[in-house]
Amino acid sequence: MKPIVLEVRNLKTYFHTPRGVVKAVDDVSFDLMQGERFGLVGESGSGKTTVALSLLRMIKAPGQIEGGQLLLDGQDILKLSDEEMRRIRLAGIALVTQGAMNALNPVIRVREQLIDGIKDHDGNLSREAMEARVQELLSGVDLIPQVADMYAHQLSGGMKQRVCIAIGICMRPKVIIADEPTSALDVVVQRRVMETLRRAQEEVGAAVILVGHDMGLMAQFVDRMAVMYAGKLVEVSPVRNVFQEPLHPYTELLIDSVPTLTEKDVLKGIQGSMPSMLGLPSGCVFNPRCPYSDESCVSTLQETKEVEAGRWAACHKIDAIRNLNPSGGV
Amino acid sequence: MDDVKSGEVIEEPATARPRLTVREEIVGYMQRNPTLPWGLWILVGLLLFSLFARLYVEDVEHYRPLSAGAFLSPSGEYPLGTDSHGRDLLAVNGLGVLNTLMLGLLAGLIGVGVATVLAFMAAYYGGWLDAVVRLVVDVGLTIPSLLIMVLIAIAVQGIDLWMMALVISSTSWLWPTRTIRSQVLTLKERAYVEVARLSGMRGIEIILKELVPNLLPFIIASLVTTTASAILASIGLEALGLGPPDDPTLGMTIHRVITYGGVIMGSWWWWLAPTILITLVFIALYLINLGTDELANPTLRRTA
Amino acid sequence: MSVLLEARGVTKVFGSGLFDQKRVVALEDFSMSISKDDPSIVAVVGESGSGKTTLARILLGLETPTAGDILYEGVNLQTLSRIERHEFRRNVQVVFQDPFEVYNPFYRVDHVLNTPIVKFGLAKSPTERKTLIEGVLEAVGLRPDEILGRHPHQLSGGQRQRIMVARALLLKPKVIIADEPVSMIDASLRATVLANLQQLKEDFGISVIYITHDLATAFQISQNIVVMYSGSVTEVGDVNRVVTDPKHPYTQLLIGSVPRADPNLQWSVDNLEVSHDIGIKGENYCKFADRCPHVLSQCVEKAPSLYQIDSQRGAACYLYEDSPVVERDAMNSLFVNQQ
Repeated sequence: MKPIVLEVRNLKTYFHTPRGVVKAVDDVSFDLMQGERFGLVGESGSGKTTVALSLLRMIKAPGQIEGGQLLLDGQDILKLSDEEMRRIRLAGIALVTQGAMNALNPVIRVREQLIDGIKDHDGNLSREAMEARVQELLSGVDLIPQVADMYAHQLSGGMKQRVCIAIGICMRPKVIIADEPTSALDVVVQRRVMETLRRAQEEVGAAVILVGHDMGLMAQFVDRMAVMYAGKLVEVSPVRNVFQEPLHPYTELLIDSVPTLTEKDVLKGIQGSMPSMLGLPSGCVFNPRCPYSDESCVSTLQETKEVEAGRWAACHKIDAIRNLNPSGGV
Repeated sequence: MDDVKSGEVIEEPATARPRLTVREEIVGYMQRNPTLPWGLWILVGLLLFSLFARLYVEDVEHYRPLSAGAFLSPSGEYPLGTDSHGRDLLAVNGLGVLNTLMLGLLAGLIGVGVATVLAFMAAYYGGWLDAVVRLVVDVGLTIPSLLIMVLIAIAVQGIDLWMMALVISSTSWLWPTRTIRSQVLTLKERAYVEVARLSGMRGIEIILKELVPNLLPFIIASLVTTTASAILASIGLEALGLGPPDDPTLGMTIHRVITYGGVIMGSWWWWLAPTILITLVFIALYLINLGTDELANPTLRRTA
Repeated sequence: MSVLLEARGVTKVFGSGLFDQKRVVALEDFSMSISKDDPSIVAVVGESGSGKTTLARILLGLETPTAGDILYEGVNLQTLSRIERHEFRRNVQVVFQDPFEVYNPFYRVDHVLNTPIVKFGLAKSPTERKTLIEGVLEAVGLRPDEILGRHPHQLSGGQRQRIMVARALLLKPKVIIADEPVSMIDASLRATVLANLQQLKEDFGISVIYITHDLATAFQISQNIVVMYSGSVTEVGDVNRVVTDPKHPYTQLLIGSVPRADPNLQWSVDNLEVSHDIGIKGENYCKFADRCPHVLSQCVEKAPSLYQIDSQRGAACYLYEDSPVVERDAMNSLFVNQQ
């Protein structure tokens, strides 16, 4: 068992809007082990990006972190001062965002962007040392040294994303949060960028939280996966288990709705749509769309429980469902 | 970029919130942009003053010369005194405020009306029409509008309030044409315009049904700014003496103060009232202008 | 086969042409025909820069080709009369990518359904109109009472897109050009929209040109596939064969890069892509040459023709130059027939 580098305990991030409270993240808990690749999957509105931003304490009004603990190497970062947290960002937990197009400053060269990140945390390096570090970072993400002299607009989408990865690892953080890093990239480029991310992460020894909605990408990249729906964590499992035998009905339906390249099936979606965050259904938040739901699902609030070793799910009917599908999964 | 997919944006899920009524929208807007109601209240105050003046003076026609003795200081009968030619200044100022505001509004309406038509036609149809409009607007805007208006005012014989409005409209349409045109240019590329076209809609219909409704807030904001600058322009022209000689306006009063030695004669009542009124008009217009910013640019939306 | 819509040698070049850098050849010598009586779903697959979106817009008459023609019922699009153009608009419909931008925020969603009914005179009375609208909404699996009277922001992306499909259905077109119809919708809602498109072919005999970058959905709903790269067709034919046994090096790269939703099928580690500097002379060369692991000297001298590998497959690659050549405008002969 690897040591745990990040513990998320009962995280709650709520948004206080004029129309009511939106519980964007409602009582989410999971552990992240050192060096592991962890996927956080959900559709739009599931709360996955809010989780990512909460981990970095980058939530702005009207949202705020209402409760819970975020233990980075045992230290609760929610209790840190703003200045202390600023130092944690990039050096402890780094963010590689989506839309690499907008994340880079258009008027300064790549070299300066990288140096900005390094200087902020390690200002004492000499010019030569900084330059060496810049080149090291660029080669670490498979970019030629000339890229340091370029501006963002001269780079392709994939190259920009790799620069963002380089910035993300420049301080050798313990955790890298990659929020939909490849969602705007073509599939061929996506693969290269993900491979770059994997190499960079392994070299630095950081754990990665990959936030996204692409189940295929998750299957290829992560070791363990957490599934979110309407602000709640509905399942956490190792990736092979998730695809072979998903525990939560939502996970099962989500996997079923992913079109494959192996055989032609009947296309299956999930009927209905995600509820408005201002009017969540009572009981289990997924019950209106769940094919297995009954009255007990409407009256009982679901808790994420450890169903078997290393697998958590928020559904009290798992055994009943398993009996319905003895072969496991659909 | 060569390897980037177009628009992979996953949008927000449905929030079935009820649509606000028009009334709620307006109230909400006023709450977010308090300068708008403040400005409007000042205008209301000015209009009330005008009404009071009308009711108080013995005869509304007293705005004309030789209605009373000259240079009379304020008294019960003439609360704002009289000027060099014996005009009852309460009547003059009371009507003047109204005239100045109406004048500006008229010039604003004409200006924005013309601008809207030209802007939509030019932006939507492009081609030579757009080229001509753009040329005229670009050239027109480089010439100081005051200069143009002065020249026109001098050339025209017998200016009255209506002519004044036309003189100001002669330049007030330029700027809104440019801004409305840019807005239309961005809108006409929208997917829903293409869908409308593919649904069989033709040019004018698309302009009227698809584009205009979306630009209404912007056009209203444009009307506000154009009216404001028209009012200021009119005051400026009148102060130079180029206003209507027979109709009472605030600017002409200032002009007469200067020409007929109101300051030297020590008749403070003569210049004080219009100065205060003009200042209030400026402040009101400024506040209203600030308050309609969000209409022109919804991204500036302030949280209540 | 009687032809409804045909692209003949369509080339589209963007840019001034004065400065070589700015000249972008978005589409090169593309030919394809859509039959009137044989409904099918053809997927046009490519990444950004492949020319697929340009193709969609040209087929819809929203852009004009730089060279070549688009013929509707045998008549060049540019010379259609008013009435013919009206007919064209009716028979060739579209579903766009962005489920939000296609709605005018000023109106309720009913507007987008009412407009074509009014403009094409599809209903003679308000009652008839209502019945028609409810009919098409139900045909795509939506409940009219949940949809009508709402504003676009009150509905999910999936619902909005299905309304667009319903709208296309209103006109009973012969072909629908769907340009990335599901790429901006959540995964769980995509299937319903795609199922709607399939229904259009099955139940209403409407052909669909499904333009996408997503090979998996293309595989699932189409019979034939055209793979494009940098404005040219690289591989074409029966979607089953192309996907399970890709022949063109680009198609191989594309399929190898798709992340499979199965941890047991990892990204293939074969060397599917290389990067080399090849001396490019002029404009006639295989666009994939600088990334191709099998590049040959003739690849940079002349663009390869389309070679027929088997009865329902063709690839534009010199690796297959021993196979018979298929003329570009006969590309359709490589398609699988439905009936």
